[in-house]
Amino acid sequence: MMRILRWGPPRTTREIMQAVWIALVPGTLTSLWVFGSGVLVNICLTAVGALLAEWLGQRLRGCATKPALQDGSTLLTAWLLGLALPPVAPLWLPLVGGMIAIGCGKQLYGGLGQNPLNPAMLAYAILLIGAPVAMTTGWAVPFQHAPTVTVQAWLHGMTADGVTGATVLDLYRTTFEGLTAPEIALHPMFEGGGFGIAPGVAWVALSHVVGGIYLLSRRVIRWQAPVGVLVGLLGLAAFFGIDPDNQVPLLTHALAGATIFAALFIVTDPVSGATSPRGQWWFGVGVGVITYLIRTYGLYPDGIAFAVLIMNFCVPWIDQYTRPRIHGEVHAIRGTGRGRL
Amino acid sequence: MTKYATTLSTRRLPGGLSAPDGKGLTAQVPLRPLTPETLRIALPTERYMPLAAWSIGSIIKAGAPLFMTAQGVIQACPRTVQVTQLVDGMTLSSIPERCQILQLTVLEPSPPTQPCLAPLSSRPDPADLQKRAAEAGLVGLGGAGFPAHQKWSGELHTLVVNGAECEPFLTADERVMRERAPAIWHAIDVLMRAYSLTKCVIVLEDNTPDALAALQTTHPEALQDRDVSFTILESRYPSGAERQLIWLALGLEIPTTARPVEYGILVHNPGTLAALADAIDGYPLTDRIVTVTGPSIISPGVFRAPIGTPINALIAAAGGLQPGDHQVRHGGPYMGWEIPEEAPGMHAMTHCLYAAPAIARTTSPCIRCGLCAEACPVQLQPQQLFAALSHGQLDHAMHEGLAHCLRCGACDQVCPSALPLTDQFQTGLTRQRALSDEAKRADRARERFNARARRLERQAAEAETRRHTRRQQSESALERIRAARAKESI
Repeated sequence: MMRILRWGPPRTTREIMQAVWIALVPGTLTSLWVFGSGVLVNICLTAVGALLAEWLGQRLRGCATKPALQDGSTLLTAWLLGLALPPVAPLWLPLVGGMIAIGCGKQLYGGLGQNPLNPAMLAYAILLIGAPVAMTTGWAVPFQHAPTVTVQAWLHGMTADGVTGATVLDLYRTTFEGLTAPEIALHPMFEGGGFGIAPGVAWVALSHVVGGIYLLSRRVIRWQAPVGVLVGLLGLAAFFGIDPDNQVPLLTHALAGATIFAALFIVTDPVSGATSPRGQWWFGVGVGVITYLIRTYGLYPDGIAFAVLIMNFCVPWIDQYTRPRIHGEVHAIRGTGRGRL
Repeated sequence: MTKYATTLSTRRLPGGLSAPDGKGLTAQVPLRPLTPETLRIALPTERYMPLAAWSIGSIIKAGAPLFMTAQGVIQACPRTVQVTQLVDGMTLSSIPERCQILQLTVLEPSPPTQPCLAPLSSRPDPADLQKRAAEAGLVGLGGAGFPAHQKWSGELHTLVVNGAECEPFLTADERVMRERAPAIWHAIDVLMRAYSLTKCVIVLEDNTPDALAALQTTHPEALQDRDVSFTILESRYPSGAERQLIWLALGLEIPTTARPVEYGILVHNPGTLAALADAIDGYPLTDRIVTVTGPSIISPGVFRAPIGTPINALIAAAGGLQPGDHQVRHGGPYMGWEIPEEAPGMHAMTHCLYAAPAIARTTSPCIRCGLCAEACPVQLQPQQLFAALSHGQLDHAMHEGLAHCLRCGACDQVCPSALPLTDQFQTGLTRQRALSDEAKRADRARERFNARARRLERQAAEAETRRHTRRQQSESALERIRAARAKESI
């Protein structure tokens, strides 16, 4: 335990993963408080699915299973996906999600370090396309959970009225259509908040910030990618969101949905993200801009998963144009070095 | 007392390591002279010229020339010895090659007591100095082993004394500065006057105050009107690498493809300068100061030992190894390499022997965390280079800047996946060199083939012309005969 709690930059891959686990604890605890025990069930079930897929994948590829299961990365992917899934989802959803994340997102490409896409976001996107009802209606209404009701919901494999509902960003596309800002503010979701802040999700987002500061101070992540996301997303939101009747307000963009969680824990994934600090900045900005575009003009209320996947595809290109200047060279090497405009 | 400007460098190395220094193990241990019973001197792998009779049983005097290398540097015999045998072995370099090793039995333990070469005047001219450096066997003692006299060419203006011994555990240069400060000053004076250098910067790290004090208290009168200054660097690995040092001290970036002398900057290790002072007095390079240290050495120490001292003798002089499984490295913990089994004795560039417990590193896949890129002092991206090289894409790795790699090993130290990054880069660079050599050979062969084809073509054309003229001549002769006959018949 003392080894887990040491300070300073991590010395092994396992320490990196464990540092991210620790950073996820505050956000997870707040999620449990806000959304109920479904969060924990999700994490456990995605973990089961993910570990199963990892074990199977390593076996099929003829690689050792023990070190792969012990390096902590599988559990981390499962944890991230578990937090991203709706808290009152049917039981099969997290289980299948965990399997897709590791099976399709990681083992298919050759295991740890080889995946071009963020496994958790790939699984999220596949589930969102494949099981849209379960993915969109399973959101618990903040602070209105009773353990028994949650259990009933699982047993019936469906959602119970009054316990579940749409997310804030969902409401903006459906219920809030045609309403003015003062009318929107009367919705129970915003009770106790203001300026478009829905207190439940905002608390979760702020607890993730605590974890993010921990990761930054231990040099597990750099500031460029998270700040890039916020600048990309909130820059556009501030510019176009002057009219609060028709546009999602700035603080809702920032504190609702998966913005903070993704900026600190998803976009900072080193394997599928850009590699140089400058590359990470542009990677983050790209995620932020695409998220804004999907949230505003797209089919889905929250587009972070798709934005991350799209930017993952751009990583080789970003890496080629954001290399640092080598000491003794006049310019940084850009692209292939042979191309001309 | 301090007459020279002493400044702290405000520049900071990108990347690098603030490593635990380990210099305390040997910093205050008294310097001990060491003379082994035998010497094992490696003969050059390139062409060389033997300058002594080394048939078995023959005796060679201390300071007598042994052989001359392809670069014209003459290696002197460190002690009076008797030749025992000539054996095959491996060189003591980072990429060991097959070589021959001269085994010598030491007859007299003392180094040359009389000057072996005629002492030079205190104001030698450049040509004399250059000749002397070559015949005294002067090579860069910092580790590169570049012949000193070959650096002294072109328009030089600044002398940088590289006293930044940045690698942990090394204390040889610091010891030279403490013990031989007057000699170093003498060499600086001679070099500055001979090559009309306008500036001298002595660069030290902030963890060697004794060396700074020794140099400051012994500064000669002769240099008082010159622009001589001290620059103190924050102790950080690898600030003592030549290009990094120049940037930290002077703010000038030297391209990887160029040598500092092309920019008028002469960089010398303090050990080389002390050896130059000896050479001016008529003593060739026979001994050097070497640190024997590391966690596995029982009593780490600093020794003045002759070139060719067997590795075992050095380790035995430092009390031997702790019981257990250990790895002995030539050089320090980062830039050093494991000593091959059939290695010869130490050479002029052996500044340190480092021994540590052998630990098998269990590696895991690269997750592109980027810690290596943060540690890289030349701002390479080792994670990208490693990925390219592990996929066999040497071209791509070269494009990403593999040729700029210092092989300092900073990335290895921080890699959480414990990947052998520097080994991979070394292998890639060696392969690239082999490929470019092969390409050059192929170019030469193609050139030869084309030249031959052109020559054959030209010869054929010439033969054709000759045939043609001959035919014309014979035809015209025939014509004349026919005409003559026709005239006769008429």
